[in-house]
Amino acid sequence: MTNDKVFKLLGLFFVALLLFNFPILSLFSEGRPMGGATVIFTYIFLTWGAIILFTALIVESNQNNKPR
Amino acid sequence: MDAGIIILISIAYVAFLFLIAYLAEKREKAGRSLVNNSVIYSLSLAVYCTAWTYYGSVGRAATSGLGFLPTYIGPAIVAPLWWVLLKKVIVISKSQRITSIADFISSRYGKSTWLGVIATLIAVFGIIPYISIQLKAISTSFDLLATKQGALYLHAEIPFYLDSALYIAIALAVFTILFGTRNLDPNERHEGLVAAIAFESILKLMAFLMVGFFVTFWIYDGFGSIFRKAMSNPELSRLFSLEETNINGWEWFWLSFLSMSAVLLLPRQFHVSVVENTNPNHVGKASWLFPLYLLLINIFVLPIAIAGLDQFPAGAVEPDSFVLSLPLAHNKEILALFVGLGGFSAATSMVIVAVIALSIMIGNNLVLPLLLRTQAFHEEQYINLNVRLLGIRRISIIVVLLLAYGYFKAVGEQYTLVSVGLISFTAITQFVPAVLGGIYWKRATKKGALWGLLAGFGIWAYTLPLPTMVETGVLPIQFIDHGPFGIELLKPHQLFGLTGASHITQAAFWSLTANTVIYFFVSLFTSQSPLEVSQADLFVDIYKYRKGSTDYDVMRRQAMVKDIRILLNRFLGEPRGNLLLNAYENSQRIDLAQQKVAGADLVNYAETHLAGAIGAASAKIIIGSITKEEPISLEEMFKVLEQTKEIIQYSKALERKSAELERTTKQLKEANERLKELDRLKADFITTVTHELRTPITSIKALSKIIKETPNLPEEQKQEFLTIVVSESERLTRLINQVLDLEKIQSGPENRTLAPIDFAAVTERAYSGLRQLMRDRNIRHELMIEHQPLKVKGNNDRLTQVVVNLISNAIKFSKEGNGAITVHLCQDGQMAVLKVQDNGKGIQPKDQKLIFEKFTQLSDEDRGKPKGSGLGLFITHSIVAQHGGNIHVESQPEMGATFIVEIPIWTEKSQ
Repeated sequence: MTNDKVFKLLGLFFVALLLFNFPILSLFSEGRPMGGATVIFTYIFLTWGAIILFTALIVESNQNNKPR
Repeated sequence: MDAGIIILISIAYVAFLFLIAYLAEKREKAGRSLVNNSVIYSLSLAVYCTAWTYYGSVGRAATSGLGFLPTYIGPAIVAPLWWVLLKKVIVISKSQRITSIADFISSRYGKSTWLGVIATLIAVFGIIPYISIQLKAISTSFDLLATKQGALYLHAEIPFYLDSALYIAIALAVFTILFGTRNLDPNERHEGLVAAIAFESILKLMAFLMVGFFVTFWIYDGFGSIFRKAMSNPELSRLFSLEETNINGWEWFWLSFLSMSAVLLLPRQFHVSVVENTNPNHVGKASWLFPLYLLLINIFVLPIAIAGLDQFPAGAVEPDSFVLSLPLAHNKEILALFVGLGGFSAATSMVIVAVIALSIMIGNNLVLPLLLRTQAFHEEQYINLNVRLLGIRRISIIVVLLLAYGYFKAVGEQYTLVSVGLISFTAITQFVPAVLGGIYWKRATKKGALWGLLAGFGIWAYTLPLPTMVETGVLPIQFIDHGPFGIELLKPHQLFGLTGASHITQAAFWSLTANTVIYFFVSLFTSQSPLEVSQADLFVDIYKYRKGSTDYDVMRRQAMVKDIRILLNRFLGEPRGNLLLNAYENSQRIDLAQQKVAGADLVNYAETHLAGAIGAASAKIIIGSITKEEPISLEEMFKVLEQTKEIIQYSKALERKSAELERTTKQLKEANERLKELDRLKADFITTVTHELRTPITSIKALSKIIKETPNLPEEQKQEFLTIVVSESERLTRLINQVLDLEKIQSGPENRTLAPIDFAAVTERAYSGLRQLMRDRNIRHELMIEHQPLKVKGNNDRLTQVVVNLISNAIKFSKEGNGAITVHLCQDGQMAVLKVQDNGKGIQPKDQKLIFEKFTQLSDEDRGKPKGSGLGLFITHSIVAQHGGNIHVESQPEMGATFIVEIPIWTEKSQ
């Protein structure tokens, strides 16, 4: 396991922790419609998708270089 | 719909699951594993989504909007870390053949039996409410499908034999037994089960997405239309505001923290993610596929909840069953049946895996160790233990499900699915400090983990499940409202006066805080046993051990090969036992048939494989019964101690020697310094004496020359010159005599005869001899003799010399032109004391010892050239010492000096 990968994932974890907690979350706590849904609903699901995407990019990178 | 059809479909569904499991196991045996695949692995993790997710989320969303989300946001936040955290746990567990979360904790802390027991109890009692909500969900959905209306009757109010929930519990127990306990796998892996779970995950996701699509796009016109509808209704629009649904940062954080912990540590999650894992690298794909699964299953939750609230009159339908009620209300019976099946699959997958995981724990970490502890080891007990172990598990499965039914009947019905589920999450979160500390903090001890867990579990039990007992009437309502015995601080829902937080949040906060603090500090104040130290090292530094080839072993254990063979055969069955031993022979290139005694290596090998079947703690006990542990024999211990003692003594001796050496060196240095000083003094003295000698000789020579070369020198002049010559010669003689005296005195006292003499007379005589000189020099002088006679034992001439020397000295150094000298003799006890005092410049304290040394002449700028030979006081000192007395000086600069001589009094007795 490369150290860089570990730190990237650790960083992503902290970013996710930040984005999915107060006070950042409360900034979007509105019922205003946005993109067919409300601001908070859109924010949560878009962020969620982004985190999944970044996790996939980090985890799946360099798969071929791995020793096994 | 007819109840019979629903039952029939359910049974057909379960039969289909068995078929999947059967096919998966068949492929596993053929070596083409279906489950060894990261997608199946990710899907099996989705056992996380239970009836809670399927029905409960919508119910939660209907009352608190986005409040249902932290349960899924938590795993989404922590998933990036899986690649680091979960992988490490898997690698450790594989190397240690760990079979459950309780086994993991017990193994980390020195394979502690008690820790295993506590962890098992926490897991069992923590999970029972969770299982009970699955029963509730199944029976509610069954009622709904069968009658089209929920809550026909309260389960608590009908006798148990008429209760559908009981029969569901029994049916689930049968499924679980069939799934999980057909045979005893040494690694606790059930590929068939995993395949079935993965299939169920697909089914429940599809069913939920289908009802989501139906509601969003059939009943309404997509997300936009639903959300607009909600916004136009103030009752519904508040669901989009975190503030108005009473969610603050504190609540949100704790709820997501609970789910972060639960997604890894719930017994069923640990079982599928760790125990059933076939390859640690599958974690990589799972860390984004599983969150994606969660995202998909959650996206329609809020729309369904809004639709339910919009379609049904307030309070008519329980929000927990909106998922089913909505298609039923629109007469989509086939869809409803499919949705019900999805819910059924969500509930059954959870129940089956959770109960299997719990039964493994109960068997390996609770029943077996206690059995092995309480009963002495008899060989016959191991006969058919394989069967016995399975029996224990089957009974545990039934017991756990009946307990869950009991909880459901007693209290579960009163609460929503989510609120009961969170009680379980909070219990499981208690494992976080012990597990996280266990894999990253070597210093953590068994006692720390044990007390931390007990404290956390105690607070959890007091604040969450205990108050629910009020419903059953076991406890009075005052217990919640005013605390036990009226102690307000101990109110279970506002413990220690903490208000403003929900029941779950305050319970999670207090229990986890106590748990962590106690775990940390007890660990720091207790020590680890050797086994704990080695297990801690193995857990924390697992990658180090994986790279190295040699397994560590803390104890050098030996056992008979025959015994190991018997044990493996009994516990794992003969084919498996033989296979393992053959594998060992091949890998080590040895023939076990040739060996009688097995070394530590084989013993450890057998233990890790047994641990797979019966847990680490039990395996340790069983292996212990056949091994001869020879950690260190008593003799060896004594030898070590002896050696240590010798080393200590040797080092002490060395220390002494070196101290002695230091002392000697110091003495030598001092002696050397003294010698140097003496040498210097001698050189000075010679210069002085030569100078002193030259002065009289020069004047004698000059005067004699004048007398010789001046024949007509006046007579009186000649006389004067001759007088000077004589006096100068006398001075020379005196000087030479003194030097000779010194030699004589130094040659020792034995040639001198000491006789009783009167010291007072000696003093008086010497004083009289110098009186004229003092008068000439205009010095006031006084003699005081208090006692006369004053007999001392001594030599007349020598003592006279002492007195003369001291008085001459005083004359020399008394104040010029205004001198004063006092000579005082008295008796003080057994001593004759002579004091000679002048009023001269005095002597510096640093010089007061030095002046009695040989050749010392004090000189400073004020005094100018020294006036004596530098021998007077030394001679005096030597004489006094020979008389058994002593001499010292008392003086202060500018205040004169007093020389004090003490000589012992002579008495008849001393003779």
